[in-house]
Amino acid sequence: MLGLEMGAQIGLIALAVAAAAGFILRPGREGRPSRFALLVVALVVGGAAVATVVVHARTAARVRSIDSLVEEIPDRLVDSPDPTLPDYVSSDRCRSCHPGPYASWHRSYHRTMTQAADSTSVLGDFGVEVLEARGRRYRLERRGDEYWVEMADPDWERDLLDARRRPERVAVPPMQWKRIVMTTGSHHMQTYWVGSARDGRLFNFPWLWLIDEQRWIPREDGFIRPPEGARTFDVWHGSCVECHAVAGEKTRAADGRWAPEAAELGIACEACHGPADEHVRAHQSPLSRYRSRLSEGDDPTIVNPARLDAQRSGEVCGQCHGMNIINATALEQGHRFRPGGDLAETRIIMRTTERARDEALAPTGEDGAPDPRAARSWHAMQQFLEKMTERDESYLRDRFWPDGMIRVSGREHNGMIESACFEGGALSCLSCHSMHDSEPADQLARGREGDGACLQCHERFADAVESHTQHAPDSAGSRCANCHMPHTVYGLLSSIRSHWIDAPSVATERATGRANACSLCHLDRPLGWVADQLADRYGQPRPSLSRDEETLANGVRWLLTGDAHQRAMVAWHLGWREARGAWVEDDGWERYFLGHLLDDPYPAVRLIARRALEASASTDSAEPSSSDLLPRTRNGKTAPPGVRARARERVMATWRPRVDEVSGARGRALLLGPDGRPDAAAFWRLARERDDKTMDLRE
Amino acid sequence: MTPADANPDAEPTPREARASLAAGHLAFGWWLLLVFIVLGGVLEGLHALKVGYYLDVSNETRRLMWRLSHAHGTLLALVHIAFALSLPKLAPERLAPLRLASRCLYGGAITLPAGFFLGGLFVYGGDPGLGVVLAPVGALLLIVGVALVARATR
Repeated sequence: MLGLEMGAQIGLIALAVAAAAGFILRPGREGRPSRFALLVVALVVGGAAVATVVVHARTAARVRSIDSLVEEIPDRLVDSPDPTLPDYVSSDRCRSCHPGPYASWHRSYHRTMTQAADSTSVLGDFGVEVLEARGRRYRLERRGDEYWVEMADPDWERDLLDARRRPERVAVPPMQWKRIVMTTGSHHMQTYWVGSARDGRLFNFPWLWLIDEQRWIPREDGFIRPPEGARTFDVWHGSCVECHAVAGEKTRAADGRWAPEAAELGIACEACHGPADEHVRAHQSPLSRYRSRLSEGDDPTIVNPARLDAQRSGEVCGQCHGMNIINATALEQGHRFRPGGDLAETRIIMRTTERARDEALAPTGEDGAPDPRAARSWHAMQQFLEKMTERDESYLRDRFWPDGMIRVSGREHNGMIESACFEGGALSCLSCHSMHDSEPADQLARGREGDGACLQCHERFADAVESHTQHAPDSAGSRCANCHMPHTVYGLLSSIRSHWIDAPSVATERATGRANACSLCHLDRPLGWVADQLADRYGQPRPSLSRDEETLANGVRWLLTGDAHQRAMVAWHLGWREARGAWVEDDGWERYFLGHLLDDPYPAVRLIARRALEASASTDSAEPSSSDLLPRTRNGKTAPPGVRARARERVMATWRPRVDEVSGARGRALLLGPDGRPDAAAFWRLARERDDKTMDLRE
Repeated sequence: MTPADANPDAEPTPREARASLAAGHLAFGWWLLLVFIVLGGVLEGLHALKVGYYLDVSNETRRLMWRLSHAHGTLLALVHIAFALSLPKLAPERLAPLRLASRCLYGGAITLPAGFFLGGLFVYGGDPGLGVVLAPVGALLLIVGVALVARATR
């Protein structure tokens, strides 16, 4: 094909040169061309020939490189047209009519969620040469525009894992150089994919590139996963394809090879607006375009999520930002979710709250029977959950808090639909977010970054902030989201705002183990103090609390006794600038307790504590900078336990409380002993109570 | 009747030679202008009909190349007309360099826009097709041609 194309190009060049030569060599009156003209033509022809050879050599190498890459990537746009997705045209076609939305999308992290690997998409440092983790060595190399890694043969590793064997326990694995073909992520972290030599699957190169820190960490260390677990070994076709690409589906070809289908890599226009082939064809004519632009009505050929009702609009986002179970029967019958459609027709939205049960089983007809489809979905989900919890008793716990609030990131739809605000039918994702009129980081719509989103409906609080919040109007305590959407979701080595809009409650904290919004700022106060405030200011009933809850600072209690998620969440808040303003004294007390986490069994908790300590070091403080005392990080080298323990001791020693605090409430809350130093006995009593149940948060 | 009409073998006078050159460039310029105005119309049509082959993001290079072809072709057509109109006022003793300038302008007016056009016909991502190699050749011819004309002005 390339040969034919090349021949056509050379033929056309020759024609143009011949035409030019015809004019240049046109005989003068003397009947023959001048010598100079002949020389010019010779130069033109010779120059064109040399340039053709040079350009051809360069282009051919590039084309070969791209060809070998696209063979492994399920993207019909860089491959041959895919007849199974004829309705999709890709973002490529959208810009000519919608340059503004195209540009705002192009800036977004949605676009760069999945990309073919080349020098424009790969952020990781491939000059590092060697990475090591769990007994495996990985060599990295950049070859021009290509990125290569030497790693244990991923097909071989996958076979061992399928046979329930731990591949890292094989001392000398078969090694292979693999080309990085695809990237995932571009905001906080990025990971990479290599192709199977056997069946078309894409395997994860098991390292993460942390974009802020500019360093590699083993992939399993980037998540709250069992610290002694095996190397993670993700397959892109396993689940990523469904949301990290437009209309992605994991399918197999007739020969058994994996042949995933996707209309486009990354989350592009048609992921939210639906397939656009009909729209493009309908608006090919300028008359049709102007008729549509000048009319007020909806365009029936495309979906605009902003014009859908709140539920349908939310489901456009919820198709990916939700914990859903794919309805296999619907899938087999050819039903696919398309924006504007009913998500419940193709997926079961996983809900475990009492509200969900009540809604599903509420009598709707005259006979008192519930809506048959809602009841069917509810029972199907119950059966699914029973099956899953039989296999893995922590299945629900690793995804939801005990009251059904989602606890892992990327599932904001599950949170939003449980909110009272959603019940009224006014709240959708687009109430606060905008894909085309926002900054890429959180995509909060312009004007809705602060309290603007909530005040759209709750405008009565706009002039009565202080009386409602009982905090200074310009303080973090008066920001709606800080109290009603605290950062109780875990993901991406961070705490993320819950999208279940609720109010702080000590009773809920005690029932679920999820620190309430007050506790997450007032980390140096005990839960008892929070209960008093909520009782005095808002009339909440004061539950009876344990002695530790009455006296110990919230931060201390959760950091020492909490499970991995609770420790990570509180560690993150200790580094959160807005929380610091709520502390009685910002004297570096948190460093003592964060220092303890530098030797936590979970690498992700250690990393979050380290980040919080670095944030702590950046504030004005007379104390020595704790970041200087942290273990040095090296690409691919996890600090060994001895180094971690020494760093822990060094960092903890940097806090020197004032002697006058020892006998006060703050002294008791922060475990200060009579000598003005934290009481080691009390400290270790709590530390031994640490909740060491295995956590495997499925963000 | 000119001496050349009377005797076909006779050398044309400088005035006749210039008139002949001017007539050629005038005709060439107007025809070239027609070609590239038509190309402009075609490109506008591609916009109106939102033709993906021209407007899609992946065809950005094609759009750039064809716009360059249209712009250069149109401008060069005007250069030929200007050259034709300028010839009577150029130094009479510099006929030979003007003949060479004429040939260079012809060559440049074909290869430069043709290079851009062919470069856009086949594209490789951000790289134009092989035809683009004609563009620098045309640019060189144009520079030489314009320099010779400039030198012939007094």
